[in-house]
Amino acid sequence: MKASEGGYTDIEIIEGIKNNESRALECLYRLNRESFFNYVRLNSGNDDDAKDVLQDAVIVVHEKVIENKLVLTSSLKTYLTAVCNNLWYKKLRGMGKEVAMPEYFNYAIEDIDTDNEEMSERESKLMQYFDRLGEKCKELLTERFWKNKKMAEIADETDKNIQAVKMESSRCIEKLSRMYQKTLG
Amino acid sequence: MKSEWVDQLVRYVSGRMTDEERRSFSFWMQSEQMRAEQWQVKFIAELMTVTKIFSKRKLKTDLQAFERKIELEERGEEPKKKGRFSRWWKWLVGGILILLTLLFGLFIFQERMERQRLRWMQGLDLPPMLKDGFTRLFKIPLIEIRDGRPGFVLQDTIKEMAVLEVFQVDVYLQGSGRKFSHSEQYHSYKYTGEELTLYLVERDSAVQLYRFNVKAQTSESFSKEGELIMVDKPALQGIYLFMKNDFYKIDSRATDTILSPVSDPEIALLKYYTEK
Repeated sequence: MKASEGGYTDIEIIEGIKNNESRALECLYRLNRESFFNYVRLNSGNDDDAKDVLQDAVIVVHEKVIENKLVLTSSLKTYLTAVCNNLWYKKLRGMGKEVAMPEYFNYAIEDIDTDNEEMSERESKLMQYFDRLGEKCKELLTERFWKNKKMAEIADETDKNIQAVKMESSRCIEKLSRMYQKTLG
Repeated sequence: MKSEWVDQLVRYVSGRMTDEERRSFSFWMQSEQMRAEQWQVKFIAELMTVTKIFSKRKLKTDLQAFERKIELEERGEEPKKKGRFSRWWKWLVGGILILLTLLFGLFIFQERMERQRLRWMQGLDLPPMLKDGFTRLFKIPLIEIRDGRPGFVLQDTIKEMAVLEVFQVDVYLQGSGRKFSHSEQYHSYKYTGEELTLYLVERDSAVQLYRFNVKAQTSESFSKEGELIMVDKPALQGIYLFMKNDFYKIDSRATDTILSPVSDPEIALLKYYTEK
C-alpha cells in the first residue's frame, strides 16, 4: 500500500485510529481536504459547508474503523471522498436544492448516518450523568464500551496496572449507575 | 457489574460477535441469572450509545482543531503548540496571580487596620510629667516612638535584669472626665524576648486624669503593682500612686523616686475623681 498522507499508508492510518493516534486521524482528515473543498466551492457551497461535511465524513469513517466494519475495495482516500460526496448531496437536498448524483459517483456506501444520534429519554438522562463524570472516567468508559477494548489493552495504552484500570472502571460504572438508578427510582 | 459477561454484552450489542458467539450468548441471555440482571443489560446498551455520542462529539472537536491548524498553516502562521509546557506555564501564572491577589488583599487589610489604629491614637499626647513619673516609678521609660505613637519601650529595663524568663505586663488606660469608670482599651502581652513595646491606643479627649495599672513580674526582682494617677486639676496637680489602698504623691523634682504622703483633703479629692 502506498503512503497516502503524511507518510502514512492506508493501513497505518486505520491502525493508528484504532490505537487513538492523533496523527493518524489528522492524516485521514487531510487526505482529500483540498480536493473536496474545491469540489464544494464548485457545487453551490462554501468553505464552512465543506469543513462541516468533511468532519462528519471523517467521523463516519472513524466509526467504521472502530466497529471493524470498514471494507475497502479501493483506497481510503477514494472511500472518504465517496462518503464526503454522499453527505454533501444529502446536505444539498436537505437545503431544498435538487441535485442529481453524478454518474461516476457510484461507490457503494451503505448505512451512512451522520445525523446526531437520536437518544431515548433514558439515554438523554444517562448522557447528563455521564457528562458529570470526570474526563478520565469518560475516556475510560468510552474505550471500554464504545471502542470495545479489553482491560489489558487499556492498561497497556495508559501505562497502568490492569488491576488499577479494573478498579477505576468499576468505580466509574458504579458512580454512573448509582446516579442513574436514583433517577429511575 | 460482572466483567465476564459485560465484555460479551458489549460485543453482542455492537454486533461484533460471530454468528456462533451470538447464538451462544443469546442462549445465556435467557438464563435466570441474566434475567435477574436485566436492568444492567439495558444499562450497558444505553451506556454504549452514550459513549458513542461522547466519542463523536470529542472527535468533532479534534477535527475542528485540525482545521484551525491547517488554516493557520495555509496563512503561513505558526500554530500555537499546546504542550505540557504551556499547561505548566498556565498553572504557574494562575498560581502567581492568586498569590498576588491574596497578598494584595492582606496588604490592604493591614493598611486599613493600621490607619484605624492611627486614627485612635490621634490626640494621644501624654503629658511629659506623667511620662517622667511613670518612668521613675516603674523604671520603664514611657516614650514616644515610631510615627509619634506613644508607647512603652521596655528594652533598657529588661537589659538591666539579670534573669528574665517571663515578663508580663498588663496595661490599661482609663478615661476620666466626669465618669472614671470605663476601661477604654486593654492590652496584655507576654514577653520573652529582648524588646517589648506596648501602645496605648485610645484617649478620651476630655481626659484630665489618667490611670495606668501596671503589673510587671519577672522571675527575679522586678514586680510592681498599683495605679499611677495623674491629675491635672487646679487643686490637685501631679502624679499620684495608689498602692495597697494608700495614695502617694510622686515628687517630680527628685532625681530618684520619692513617694510623699498625701494629705487628707487631697485623698478626698483623689477619691472623688477616681471613684466617681
